Amino acid sequence: MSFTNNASYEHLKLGGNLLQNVFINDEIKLILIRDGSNSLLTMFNNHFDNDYANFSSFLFNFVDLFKQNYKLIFDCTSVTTNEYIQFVTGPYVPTKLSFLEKFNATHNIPNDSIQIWTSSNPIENIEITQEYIDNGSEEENLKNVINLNKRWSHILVDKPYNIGNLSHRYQKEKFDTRSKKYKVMALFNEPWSSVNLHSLMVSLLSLFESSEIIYNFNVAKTLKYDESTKINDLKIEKAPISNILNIYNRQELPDIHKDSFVNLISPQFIEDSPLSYLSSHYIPDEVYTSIFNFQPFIIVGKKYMLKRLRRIGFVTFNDWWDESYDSLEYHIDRTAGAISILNLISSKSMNELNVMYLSMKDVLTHNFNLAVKLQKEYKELYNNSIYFNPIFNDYENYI
Amino acid sequence: MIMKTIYNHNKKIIYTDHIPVSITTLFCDLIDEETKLWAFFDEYLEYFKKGYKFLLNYHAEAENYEVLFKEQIKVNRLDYDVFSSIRQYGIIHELNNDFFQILTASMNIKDLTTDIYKPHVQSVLAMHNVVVEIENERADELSIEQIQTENFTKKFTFLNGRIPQRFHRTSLFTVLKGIGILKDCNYSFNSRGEYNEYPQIPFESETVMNSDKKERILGFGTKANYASFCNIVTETMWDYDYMHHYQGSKFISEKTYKPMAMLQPFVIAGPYKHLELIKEYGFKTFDKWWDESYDNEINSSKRLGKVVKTIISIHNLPMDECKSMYKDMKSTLIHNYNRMKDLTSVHYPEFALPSIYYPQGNGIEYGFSKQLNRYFEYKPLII
Repeated sequence: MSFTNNASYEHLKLGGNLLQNVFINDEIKLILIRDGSNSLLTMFNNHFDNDYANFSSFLFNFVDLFKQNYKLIFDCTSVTTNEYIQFVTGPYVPTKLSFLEKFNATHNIPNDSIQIWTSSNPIENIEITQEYIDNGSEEENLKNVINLNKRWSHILVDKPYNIGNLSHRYQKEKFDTRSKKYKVMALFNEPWSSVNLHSLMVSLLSLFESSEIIYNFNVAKTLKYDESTKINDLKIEKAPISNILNIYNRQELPDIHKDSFVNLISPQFIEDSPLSYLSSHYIPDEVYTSIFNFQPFIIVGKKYMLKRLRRIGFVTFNDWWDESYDSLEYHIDRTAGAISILNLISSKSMNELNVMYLSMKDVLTHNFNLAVKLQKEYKELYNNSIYFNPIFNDYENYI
Repeated sequence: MIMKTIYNHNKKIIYTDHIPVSITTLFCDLIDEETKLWAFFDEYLEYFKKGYKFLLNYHAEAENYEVLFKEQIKVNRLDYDVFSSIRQYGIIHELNNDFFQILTASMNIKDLTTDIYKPHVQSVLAMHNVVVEIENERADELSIEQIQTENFTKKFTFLNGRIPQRFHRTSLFTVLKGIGILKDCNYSFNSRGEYNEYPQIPFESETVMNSDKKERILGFGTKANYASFCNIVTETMWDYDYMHHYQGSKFISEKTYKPMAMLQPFVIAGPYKHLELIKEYGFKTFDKWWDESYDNEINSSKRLGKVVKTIISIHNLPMDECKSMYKDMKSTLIHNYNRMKDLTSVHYPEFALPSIYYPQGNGIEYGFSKQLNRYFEYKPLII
């Protein structure tokens, strides 16, 4: 990756906005705009001020490249909100999408010249039943999403590249045959605020001896209830706080993963209203952390979370326990499905679980290799690019 | 339908049927101005001057009204101080200071309320429908032999009507489903259908719908209770922090009384020391037969975990053992039943009963408040 402006692109006038992270990959003809921690909505609101003139003047820089079949990518794969929903429910929505349409038509360039990549948007892969539409409390928005999907499927592209944000040091992990110390590990954030996490927490507390599990139920340390409900004793159990914070900061905590048979994972909000069902359907980082650590996992997420993983190419654990809960409509039913797996695991001895773990070696290795491949693939997109940062020196003024 | 008010001229009280909306809704959304409240009082001013008291019946819940009203003022949902306004009206018209009272099932409401407002609140045990059942249906004919243990088809009855703000119900339901115990329960869940994102599972809806009016009002699944060994009670209150306006209330809801009336043992997912509170009222619990240490666990999540452990231990018992255990519990179950009857006469005055049990005549007269009935169409309350 070059961190200096390249002479062949010196004519580009990119200054005056916050899109400092422009990468051009000539090899695969991609112009990548990575907005870091900002969502696409922020990008449009703040950088273009929702003004077509701003939008157009920025993109005009790339018209020649578009005519050479370059694609410009708004890379939002690190953002876990759903860009569809942001577009549908956010302000100035029709305007934003019409910007793209208008620009393509004005300059007579291919209609997929500008794309939005998101890791939380598998809409095209998910069956939207009539029942969802009929029962939807946010029916209009849902219809908008569906229409949007049809209209913009060539532009809104699902790429599971949030894996790219995890530490690349994970790639050095090896399959480890050490005996497990714990049956289950669980790192939850504010389980007191969501039914799925709360139910899973209660299951762990009731089905297992405390020596059989390792958990932390207040990972983010932002717990409002902490002071008022006097539940401090649940805040940290066994795992030292420094380690827990490290894992939350996306640094490794391999021992907990290596020492635990299975990782119990559940995003905080998995309600089943139609819009939430379609939103934020990303693979949580914790899943990839498990995969990099050759660790089986149980996920309680939105409907079809496991299906989504399998579509990416990962293999899940249906050969060892029943994962049919993944397709159940109600989140409490999916949670109950996961609890029945916990019940199964609690009934097995540590020796039995160790044997089961060894039998999973091929699957775990396959998943690890695929995760490494995806991570490398994502990294190479940028490594092989020329990097522009036209207002780098002013960056401090903008944050 | 019109919500009735009942005049008891012998006792100089005017009382309402259980009002069909919450106190929050009544004062924040309906009687949302002091002038409206006073217009309602004006309707009864001639009676107040003769020494009558008006009892607003809302004893299914145990809210700490002072906390509740302050909270609502704080979030700008309520524009006036209700208690202060009631007091002012009394002073202006030189009425007895207890001329207007709100009934609540918070048994310590007097302790929770500022001295000058104490006359405006009154505690009533939340036995409502349960007492009706005892007094009107079975009376003294009841004996333990009436419950045929051979009829036990399930281990548990597990009823969960309301879901909002009641995490313990959704969690317990989900956990019991996950570990396969739900199959051994007569159960309901989200039966009011208040949340779309949860399945609505009414309890024996057909039976209830086909039953007579009185049974529908009672609506607590007598047959199912008799057909199961133990009742898993998910109390109204769980963790004070989920429901601030219940703060400090000592509240035993009808959910706890029902199994007592049905001669059932129970496991209760309730607040910290709830069993201890029950014992304070002279009831007995079941620590001789299973682990009730959950009651002493202050951490609400751990407490629910311990409740689940106790349920699992009962679930693991063979049914024959449960039947034998049930017979062994006879004296405890009958004690609780009788204790309920005793408490009724002390803590459950007639004005807490639905009006259908009080025919007109002999000093009882029906009426209705024009002001109150402006605000809501009366619907019979089924708890």
